[in-house]
Amino acid sequence: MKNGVLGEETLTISMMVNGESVVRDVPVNRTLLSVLREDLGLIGAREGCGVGECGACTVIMNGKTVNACMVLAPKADGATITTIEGLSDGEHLHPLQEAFIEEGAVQCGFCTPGMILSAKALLDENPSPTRLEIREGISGNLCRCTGYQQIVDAIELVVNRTEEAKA
Amino acid sequence: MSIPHFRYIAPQTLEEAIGLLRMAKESGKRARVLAGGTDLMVQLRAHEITPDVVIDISGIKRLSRVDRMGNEIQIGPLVTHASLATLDLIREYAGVLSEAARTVGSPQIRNLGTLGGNIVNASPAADTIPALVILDARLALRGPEGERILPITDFFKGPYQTVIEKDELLTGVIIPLPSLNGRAVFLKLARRKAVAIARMNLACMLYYDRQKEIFEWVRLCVGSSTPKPVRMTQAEKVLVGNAYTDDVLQEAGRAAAEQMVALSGFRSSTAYKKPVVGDLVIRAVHLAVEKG
Repeated sequence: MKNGVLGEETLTISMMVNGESVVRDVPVNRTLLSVLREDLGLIGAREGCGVGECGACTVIMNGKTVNACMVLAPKADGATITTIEGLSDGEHLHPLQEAFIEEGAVQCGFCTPGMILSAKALLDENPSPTRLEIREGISGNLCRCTGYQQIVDAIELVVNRTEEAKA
Repeated sequence: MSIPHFRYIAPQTLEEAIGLLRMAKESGKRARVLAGGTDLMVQLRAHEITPDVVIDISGIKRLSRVDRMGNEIQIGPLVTHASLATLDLIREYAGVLSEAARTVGSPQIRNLGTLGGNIVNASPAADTIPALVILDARLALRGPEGERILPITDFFKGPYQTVIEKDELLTGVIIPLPSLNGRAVFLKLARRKAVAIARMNLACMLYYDRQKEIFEWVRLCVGSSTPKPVRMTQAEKVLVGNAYTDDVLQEAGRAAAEQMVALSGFRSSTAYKKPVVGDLVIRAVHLAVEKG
């Protein structure tokens, strides 16, 4: 406590974002989502509802999906973050991205980054989910175009391809 | 919407955190404790709360532990809903808490939201609370004067109101290991399966003796329908010592509905909730018996 004041108004946070080390001074009342979008230019994660219901802001933090709109920026200090921008190597799309295109799982596209990251986290943990487990895996992501069948089909396509490749 | 201005501090030890809460209290500063943030961030964004300082306790390692100590399990308040849903120790000894945690929000919310946050936020619709009530959970609160331990049912004063002092922190949830091998069920009614706040939820645990054909013991707690979480003792009394028959189940359902109305009074939702709470009790008891 300095001069009767508790805490800081600005903090320096360091994160690994999509494999790159990032250090930024941020006001403590900002969200991880706003730092990603406004400071780092990573606009794949979107702000939909802002209260953790729509999943458009989904990112993977330390291996787990989170709503970036509900993570206070200082909480991301020391974290490893993957956003949709980190899935492709710049030349090749991620198998999930390929499958979403093939199955027509992208309509307006607003939910797509979050959907793909939820699917990635699911497959990282359980490489051969059932259709029901896929639906549970993406249950925190709303698609307002209601194209859920194609999204589930796309994820299933990746599961089947992975299994075929193993066989 | 913008988040109000505040200062932020992340203590690394329990002592430090309690010291900060005490300093804030003594200097008249409004302090809020941040754990997973799934409730706090929503309240901040809506400007429902405008704290001077946010105290982030997520760096206090010992608050994330789950331990078995003799005949009890101790769950740290920072344990997430995702962990409650998957940890073997919880699934084995407090299965109904695992089931309840599985119904919270979405995978993303379960990865962030914590058991302690769900308790301290004290929403009447909290999913873990009915489960903790039937598990006879006790809560450990730590303040500058030391620790006190109280039954979970003594923690709540009403919706979003608890007995926690401004300089106290919830430091543990203590669950006695069940002495009898009961069957447990958690049911939740909501607009949809994911990301939905419970219209009504229910935790049920019972032991039905198939030889004697009687309910040996029954514990029922309904959430989102009484001002404070309580056991549905009237329905429990109807069941204990009786056989698993349609008549007994119907009578238990009526008893639960009457107790709910007696506790909550007639509200606009009563026309819906009164018959539904009865049916929910019947369904839960049925499922728990069939499970065994």
